[in-house]
Amino acid sequence: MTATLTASGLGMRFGGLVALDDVNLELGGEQVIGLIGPNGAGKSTLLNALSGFIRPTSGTVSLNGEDTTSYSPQRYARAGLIRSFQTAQLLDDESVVTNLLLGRERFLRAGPVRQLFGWPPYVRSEREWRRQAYQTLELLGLLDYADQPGSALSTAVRRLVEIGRVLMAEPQVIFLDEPAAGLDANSREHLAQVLRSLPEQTGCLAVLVEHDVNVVRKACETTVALVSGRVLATGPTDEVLDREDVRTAYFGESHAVA
Amino acid sequence: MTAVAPVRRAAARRAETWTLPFSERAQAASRAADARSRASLTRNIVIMLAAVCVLPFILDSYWLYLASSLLAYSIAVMGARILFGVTGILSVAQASFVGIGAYAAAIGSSTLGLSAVPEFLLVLVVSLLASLVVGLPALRIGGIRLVLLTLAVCELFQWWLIDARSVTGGTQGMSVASLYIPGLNTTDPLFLYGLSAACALIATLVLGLLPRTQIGRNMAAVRESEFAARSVGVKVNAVKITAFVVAGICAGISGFLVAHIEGAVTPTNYDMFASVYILVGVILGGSSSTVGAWLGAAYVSLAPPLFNALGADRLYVLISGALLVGLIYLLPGGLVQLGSLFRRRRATVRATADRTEGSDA
Repeated sequence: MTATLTASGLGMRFGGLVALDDVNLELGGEQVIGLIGPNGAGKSTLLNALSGFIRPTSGTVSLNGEDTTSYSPQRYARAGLIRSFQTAQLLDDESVVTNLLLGRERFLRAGPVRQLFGWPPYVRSEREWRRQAYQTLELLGLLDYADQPGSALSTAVRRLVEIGRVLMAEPQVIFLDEPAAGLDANSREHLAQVLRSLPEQTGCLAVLVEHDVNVVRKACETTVALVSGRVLATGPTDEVLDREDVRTAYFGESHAVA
Repeated sequence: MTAVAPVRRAAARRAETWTLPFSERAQAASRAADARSRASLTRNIVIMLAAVCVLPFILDSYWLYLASSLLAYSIAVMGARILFGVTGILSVAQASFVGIGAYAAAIGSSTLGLSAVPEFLLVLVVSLLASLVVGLPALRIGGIRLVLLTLAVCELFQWWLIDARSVTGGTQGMSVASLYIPGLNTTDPLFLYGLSAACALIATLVLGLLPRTQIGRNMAAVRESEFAARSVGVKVNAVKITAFVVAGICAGISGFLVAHIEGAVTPTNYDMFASVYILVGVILGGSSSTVGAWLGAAYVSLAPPLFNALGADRLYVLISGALLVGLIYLLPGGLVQLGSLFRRRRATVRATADRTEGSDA
């Protein structure tokens, strides 16, 4: 069964600022869901709340019916809700393969002593994980970067490596925070293709916060539009993006873009 | 509910198996990387084993003594490297942990009259407890405040050593009875050398495997990006505690060996300066490699007698400070980096030569 992530009555205030205001959403299925909205609409806040990185001031988040609002980020991750960051968080001194392997943490069964003294089941799983890391690199077209340190990579490759780490965790739900920001057109195209194929290849639900409408059109089947911390519209991507109120909120009165 | 995204394809097909494609090319790359890392570990172990086996034949007893303490100190340096170099936690109490191991050994063998194995177990238990006592409060704080905490630990330990005269012998320290193993002459310098070498080799092997384990990767993640660590479910506090315990136990074993090599323990050997020298050893050897720990330990244990022989004791402190500053500016990767710098230079020279030939043709 695929994961269902539910937000009910979700609210978040930072002092006097209302970032999220009574957000009710049910996200599920094996698909990519886009989360769009103008700057300050609460997209990142919603993503942070859904992935456990901030605790909402009101309302609840639940995964498959279980209330997970009070879970720590680690606990969310161990339950299979894995996220990326706006600025890719890689280990700069470590190789790409090491960065990917970090993602296997939630499948770790052996303690430090068993790991360091070569407990055979652990050694076997480590070998298996390495194989999976190379498979993931191949999926993302990153084989040539396998041994390079994180610091040597371009922004686009860093983003993909971070997605690779997310995939290594065999997530139930993937959260991606503006993965296309700062990339050139070719990289965006590649990224959109990779994202589009993710649910099919990994059987997960992906939630994508993204500014670039073209990426959203290409990658997402369903889209949620947020404005001022409230859900404005949800539905199939094309329908949502073509709605008059969404276009007004997102692009201003002139409809210049898109 | 405002939105109900339809639950579409049932995803029963996945779950257990990893079904991504795996081409010949990816398999080859994976195998090559495996072979490389195994080869480099094997090479280092072989070099060290050879060095360790040859040395007793060419060294007189004084140099054998120095070599023994080098090997013993290398274990403490390796431990400090895990804590500082890998996990990124700066502690100036590493020498205190060496001292805790050394005094536990001294009290175990001299005061309690334990034989070798229980004495060693006592050292392990005391080091473990001490590293937990220091590590647990360290979870709440970081950076400069943690440095101050470890500094306080360092000073408290000194104060206790000097104050608890009936237990520790005060400023005079205490003598350490030789290890008791029935039927074995443990006073032979060769025995202590062999014991130190065995411990150092095991530590090198075990800690050399660290980068290929999840705990090693988690330590690197805690150093470089706690966000990345938390986002994949790494229990950051558990990783920090593990680093403290590994460093503490390494230091304890090192202290146990040092106590028996020296035959005596005195407080000044385990003060803050000693900790700083261990850190110099870590940085000198390069925080990225376990082999570097041996180079670092070589400096820490060979430089003082060398400066002593030159009649310039004070110079050691001065040179160590200058070396530390110089290294951080010029060679942040430590001495081990020299090798890779040289290789890269040669590669660049070759590439330039190729290009020049190409343009000539």
